[in-house]
Amino acid sequence: MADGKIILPDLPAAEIAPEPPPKGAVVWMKDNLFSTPFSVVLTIVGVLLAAASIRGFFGFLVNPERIWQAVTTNLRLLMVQAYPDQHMWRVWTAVGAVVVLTTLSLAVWRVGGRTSANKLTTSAMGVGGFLLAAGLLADFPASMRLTWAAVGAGVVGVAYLVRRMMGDRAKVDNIPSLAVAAGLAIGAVASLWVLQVPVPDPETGIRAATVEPLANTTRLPWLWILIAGFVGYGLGTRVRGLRLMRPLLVGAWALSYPVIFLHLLRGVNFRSVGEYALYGVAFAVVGGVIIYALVNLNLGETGRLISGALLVAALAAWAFPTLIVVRLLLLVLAAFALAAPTFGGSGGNKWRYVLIYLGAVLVIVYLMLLAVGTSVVQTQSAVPFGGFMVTWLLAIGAVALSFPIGVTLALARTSTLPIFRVLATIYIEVVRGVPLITWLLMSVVVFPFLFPEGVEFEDVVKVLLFFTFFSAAYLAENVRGGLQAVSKGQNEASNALGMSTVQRTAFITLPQALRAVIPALVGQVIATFKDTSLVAIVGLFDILLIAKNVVPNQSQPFNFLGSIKENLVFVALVYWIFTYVFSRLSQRIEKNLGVGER
Amino acid sequence: MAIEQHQRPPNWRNATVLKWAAQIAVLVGLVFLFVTLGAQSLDNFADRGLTYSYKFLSDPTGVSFREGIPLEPDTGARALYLGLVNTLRITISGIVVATILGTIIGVARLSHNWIINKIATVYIEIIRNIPLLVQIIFWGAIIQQLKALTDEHIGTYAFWFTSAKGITVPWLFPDQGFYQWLVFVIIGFIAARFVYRWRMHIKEDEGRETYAISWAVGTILVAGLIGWFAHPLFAFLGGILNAIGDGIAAIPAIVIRLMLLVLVVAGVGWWIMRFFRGLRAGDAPQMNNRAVFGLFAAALLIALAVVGGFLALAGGLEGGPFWLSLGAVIAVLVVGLKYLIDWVAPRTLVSGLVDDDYFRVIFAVGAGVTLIGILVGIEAIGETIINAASAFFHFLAPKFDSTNVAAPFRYAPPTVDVRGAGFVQLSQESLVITPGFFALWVGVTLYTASFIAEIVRGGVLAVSRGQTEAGNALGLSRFQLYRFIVLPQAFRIVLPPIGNQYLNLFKNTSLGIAVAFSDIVMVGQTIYNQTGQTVPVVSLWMAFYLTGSLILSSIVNFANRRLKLVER
Repeated sequence: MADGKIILPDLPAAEIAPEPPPKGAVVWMKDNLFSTPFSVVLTIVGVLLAAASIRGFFGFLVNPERIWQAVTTNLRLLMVQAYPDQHMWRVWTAVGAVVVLTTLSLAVWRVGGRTSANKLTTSAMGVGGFLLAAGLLADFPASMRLTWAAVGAGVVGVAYLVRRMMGDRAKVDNIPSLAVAAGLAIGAVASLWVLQVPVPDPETGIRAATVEPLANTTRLPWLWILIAGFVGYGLGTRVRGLRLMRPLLVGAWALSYPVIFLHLLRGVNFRSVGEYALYGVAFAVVGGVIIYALVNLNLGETGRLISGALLVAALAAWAFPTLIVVRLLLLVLAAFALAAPTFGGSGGNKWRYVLIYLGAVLVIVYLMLLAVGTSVVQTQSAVPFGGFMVTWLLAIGAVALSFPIGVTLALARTSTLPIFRVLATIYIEVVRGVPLITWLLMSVVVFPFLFPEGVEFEDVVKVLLFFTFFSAAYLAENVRGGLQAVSKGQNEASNALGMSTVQRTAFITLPQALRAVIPALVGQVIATFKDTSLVAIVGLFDILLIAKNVVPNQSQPFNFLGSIKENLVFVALVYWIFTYVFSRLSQRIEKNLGVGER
Repeated sequence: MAIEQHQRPPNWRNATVLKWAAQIAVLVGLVFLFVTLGAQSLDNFADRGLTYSYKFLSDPTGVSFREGIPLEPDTGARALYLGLVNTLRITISGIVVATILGTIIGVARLSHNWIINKIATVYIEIIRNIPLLVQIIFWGAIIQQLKALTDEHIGTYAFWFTSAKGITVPWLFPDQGFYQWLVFVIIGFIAARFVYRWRMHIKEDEGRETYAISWAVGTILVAGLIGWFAHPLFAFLGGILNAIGDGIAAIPAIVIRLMLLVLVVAGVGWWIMRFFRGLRAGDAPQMNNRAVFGLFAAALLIALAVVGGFLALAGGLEGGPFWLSLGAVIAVLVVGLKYLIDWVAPRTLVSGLVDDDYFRVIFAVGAGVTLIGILVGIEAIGETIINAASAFFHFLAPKFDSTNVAAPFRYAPPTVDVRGAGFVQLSQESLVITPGFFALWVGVTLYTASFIAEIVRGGVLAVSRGQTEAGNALGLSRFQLYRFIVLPQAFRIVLPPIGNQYLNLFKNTSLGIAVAFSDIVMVGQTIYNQTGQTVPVVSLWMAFYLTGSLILSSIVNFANRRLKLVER
């Protein structure tokens, strides 16, 4: 042992594990369905229950009283409400941009594991089995019953044959999951060209006159989006070696919300660009010089005085009539000046800090230009958002905007400063103790009263504000959990290194805390996404309100009166798909981060 | 060796001073913001010829609600009470059923039986991922398309009757003698506690099974049975309750306001006393806690008198001079407090105070002065409290009227009859589950059950494997294993998250507004649509939901504390 070698004793050669007994269908059934008498009873009850559910479900779907044309002819209304025809390209561009960003990110971050033929065939057999069971059990017309049963049996048979033919190779994880996803996407787009639905005749008003492809107007855009997605992935594989790629993509994701919703979908008609550009340049030049000077740590007390003066000026600007863009730019400048000693450091960091400041100025000027610009997309309401679009506008906007507020609240609630702690606690508990619908009603009936005459907000803006404040309270509790999970040793170590409170929070505590709460944050996104349906109660025309009040009241040109259940089933399906994908995603993230395991 | 005294940094570089300055600045800013917004909203209200008032509580509403207790007398307060009862009805029945259903599905999700497992999984994945509001509206649409009532449905049914107007089921209603009977049941509960202890005592002494729980339940049943026949005995309670109500009404309002004042002063004094006690680093102080309490309570009263006196005298001052002299008064008080602390500290403490401690004590006194100012400023507060308490006892008193000698319960079978302008209706004499109640109840219960199922599953999986293996080694059946080993341990783990789900269920009942279920939110909305009193109604909502959340979470916390394992 003296030379550092560890000598292992000779171990007996490990016995080769015996082959597991062959597992046929009979053995499987005996294990999983008929293991005990009680299990047999459960199986019988379960089979009856499942059969009744499938029969009831499909009976509901194919009932001759159902008016599914109400959904298929109103798809566009449900998705984007009355978005004008000539501007529809904006919607498609927005969807395409998100898809391209997604595929780019997938490539750059090298996401996606591998799966085995075994797992795929199992899934296929599940789907086929379901189709077969539905065909046999449901109350279908004879021809339909035959088709379903045949297709189901075919899928099961093919999957089984594939597995048998591949033998042991089927167990190896060698199929990229992304390829499977791509295949499914191709299949979905292809189905738009093939699937046909009965279309009501506008002349006679009869429900099912002719049969046309489901997606006459949307199949071409979807095809382009699919192609763009593949191009994006290809591009991503080329550029993923570049160093700046990841920060650039993160920035693109962060900016995608304002660009898509405030710029692209609203179709901004920019006003007073010159004036704003002037302010922007002025703040960029003067502010840039100040920030560059302040990053210099030798400045000492003078730097603090300068940043203190800037802060006072920034706050004073709110007391006097000043352009909002100037107020915001002053605030940003003061914040950057105050934080300069914390984030500055030496060498390249200085320039990077100044560059980030310049980026912030650019973003603020751009956002303010968006805010004062008018919309070229003309609809009945001043904001051209409706249908499923509004759901996304609110869900993403609320979570994104509530993030900084929530983190601040969480920090305040865990801080040692008693007044901040009490204020944050009161805010969080009051917001969480009262149901969301009460807050939304408040946003409509109380909030407008708080402002002098002339100050008016769009309904969407009011609702978004209250969603943000509501979501912030829940987010704060999640983040607080993460903050408390950071071990005390980390704090002590940073104190020992002489870090300031700000440095400790920004560099040590928050990164660890936020990493630990990522799954909870995705859960928050899901919850907010589902909660957006509540805006239907305060009269915002989201997908639910259109499905509940608009479509079932259409009598011209087609009679869709009383089609509420069909619409609700469709809305439920739309919500379900996204929430299900999100929740799967969050499970995957949780596993990858290994948060629960350490 | 004495610790070397650091030189105190100047105030503008003192971290403690800066921190408190920032905190107080934010607090003042927030108060300023709220006052501005509040004043603006009062102005906007005044433009419409309205002022904030709670008068709608005593005014007639002029509407009828489809749901719940009768609206007699027809006042806003009664209508809100109706909404409150409806909310609680759904909450309580929903919690019971969702817990049972959720537990069953959660256990099914772990079943080795493939098909049961899959059914539970599909249930959870479908229900959990669809917004609750969509589900509630869907159930509402389902029941509205049931059969309409016609003449041929008139009659009485044995079990239940479903229609588009709702579902009617047989039910036992509380009758006139109910409250007297309830007294017996409460006595039964108290007796059951003693019986339980007595049986447990025997069990511990003699080591034999004494069926303590069965005995306790039996005691309650016996008390209820006796009460069924003997309930008129408690009729005399009516007179006593009446007398208490009269007594409370006779209290002058000033007494209540004085009590509130004493409460705040005592609270602040107690807080400072505890604060000093917590700081004490050695023994043998020259001053006891009670003296600290008295000194600071007196200081608070003096501060109050000084500020009050200043405000009374400063009638002529306005604008800048007023704020300047108020600032001077506050500065004098703060300096005085600092000297008081300096004088008290060495007589109670061994170690010295830091800047932060001064700020805390001064802030506590300041908050106390402000709170008392607000409490004394609202003149109606004393009368409101007296009226509410007295009304409560006067409300209870007639329930014990000695003429109420009927049975505690009345049986009502499901009935369809003709009422009003010849419309066929479900009889209100029997229990009617309205479409709104049905939709909301089914939606909320199924939704919460899916979340509870996942929590139960997680809790069962969190019980250590060794426990299951030990149970298997003892030869327990699967049922016994779950009943005696796994579920009791899982229960402890799942209680806090399930309590959270109960809170969510309670809050989610407010979605009933979408299916015209008259819960407190919908009643409130009806009232402010008629009177325009939005802010008062909203304040009542918030008070109700915050109180409800607080009560529910304290119950769960209490149970949690009782069940928690005592760790070494």
